[in-house]
Amino acid sequence: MDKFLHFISQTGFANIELSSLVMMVIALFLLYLGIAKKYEPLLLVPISFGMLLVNFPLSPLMALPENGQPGGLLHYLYLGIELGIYPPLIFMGIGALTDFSPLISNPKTLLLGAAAQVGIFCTFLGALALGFTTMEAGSIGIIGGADGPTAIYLSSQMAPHLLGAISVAAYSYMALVPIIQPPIMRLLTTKKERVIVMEELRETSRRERILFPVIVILITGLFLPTALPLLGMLMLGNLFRECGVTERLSKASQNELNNIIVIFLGLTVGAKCSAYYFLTVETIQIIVLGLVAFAIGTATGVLMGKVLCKATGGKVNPLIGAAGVSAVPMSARVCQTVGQEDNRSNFLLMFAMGPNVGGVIGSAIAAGIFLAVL
Amino acid sequence: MYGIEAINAANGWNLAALGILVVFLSLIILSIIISQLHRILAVWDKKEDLLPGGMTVDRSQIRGNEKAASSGREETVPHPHVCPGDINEIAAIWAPLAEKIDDPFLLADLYKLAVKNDFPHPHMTIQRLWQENILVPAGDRMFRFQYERKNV
Repeated sequence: MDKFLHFISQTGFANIELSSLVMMVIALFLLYLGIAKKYEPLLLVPISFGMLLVNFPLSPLMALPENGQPGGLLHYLYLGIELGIYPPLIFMGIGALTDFSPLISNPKTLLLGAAAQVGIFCTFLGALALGFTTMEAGSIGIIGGADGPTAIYLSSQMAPHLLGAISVAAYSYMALVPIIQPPIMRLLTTKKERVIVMEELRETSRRERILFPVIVILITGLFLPTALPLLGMLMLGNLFRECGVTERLSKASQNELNNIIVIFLGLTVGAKCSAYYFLTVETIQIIVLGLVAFAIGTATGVLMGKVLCKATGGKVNPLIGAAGVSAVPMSARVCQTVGQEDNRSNFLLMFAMGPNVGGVIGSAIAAGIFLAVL
Repeated sequence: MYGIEAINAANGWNLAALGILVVFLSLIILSIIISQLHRILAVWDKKEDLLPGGMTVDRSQIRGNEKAASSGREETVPHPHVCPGDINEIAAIWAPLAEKIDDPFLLADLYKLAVKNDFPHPHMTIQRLWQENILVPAGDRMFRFQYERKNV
């Protein structure tokens, strides 16, 4: 009978808490969004499943090693985030998947990528005003970069206790780009601006595409060495893609390695969403601040687009400024959709890819700034 | 501590201004260098013309060699470097390309041929031709190029 009672006391039923149940419901809801609604499924499915696994009562997955016993599986996998390994490797995959030609042929769109990062710093101020520490505020502000790996990297280095909330907020808003951005884009532009048809981009040579990652690294590396883990790997991946002699490495970065890291990253980010860390007032504040960051980033990108439109005599469609918040390629697709609402024959996708990938570089630089000064 | 007081205490205004300044400065420098990259490469290509002592390379000889080398290559479909905006013009340019492959064809084959012939933005153009019903589904993932040449 004692053994039976002991067994009962070791089951989840005997140890369940309301907070864990709430977290499991949230995890199942996110799982539903990922599978049924296809909101960033490649990340939301492993994140929500990781969240589900660690919120079971007595779950051993995140257990620390003690009494000579090894720790839980996710505890060891989490080291990849804690030591800043996974996000740069994801960036390498992104670099190998990204064609920077639209940016190389129209480099002024980098300014749109820069303008959209203003949201990060405005939200940094907002988070400070709400009582967060400078380290926490920097990690929250980076949600405005709309770049999951950058947000995870920065919060793992500066505010690991907020990692779960920040990454869930970041990926949720990235999935909600088609809902958040269009009203802001329409509000800040006139119909005359939205119908602007941009001039065809010039073709870029292979040598330009090979030199691009090298130049980016030489400049940003000297300017801001703290941005090198992310930008260095992004550009290495892109060099694999463009140099033409490392096709196998490029394919491995794009597929096998990227997919493995996405699984590890998603699971372990989800594992950080235990009730103790997640069900707090701070989480709600982070989610609200993330939305503010995203909205400001979109608005400043579009406003810079209007400045470029004026400066070039109407040759730039301001809508493409919204793609400066990264969220590759979702925000570029949103620019295309909103542009076609007013001009069916307007194809903005390729033009929006310039600020889009410029935003990835911009948000990595913003992360490097926070790491350097905070 | 909350509000403006908390921002002041953390030196928040200066940090935010510095952050925005550094992001803009680094991306502006990057933008300027990248915008000049193709010009620098063009100058690099012409370095043979700028040999010391005012000597110049006989360009006609180089062109002759290039012509001889290219004569062995497969003939490419002529096309402009910049893709026109009008769908009829695009279709007129792409029609000879579509004629080079068996009808009906897979879009992937058309795409490969366009890339081989250095057509600008093949993926986007194929998508547009599809949307404009110039590339028409012929079943079993195959397509036909339906275009009658107009006065373009």
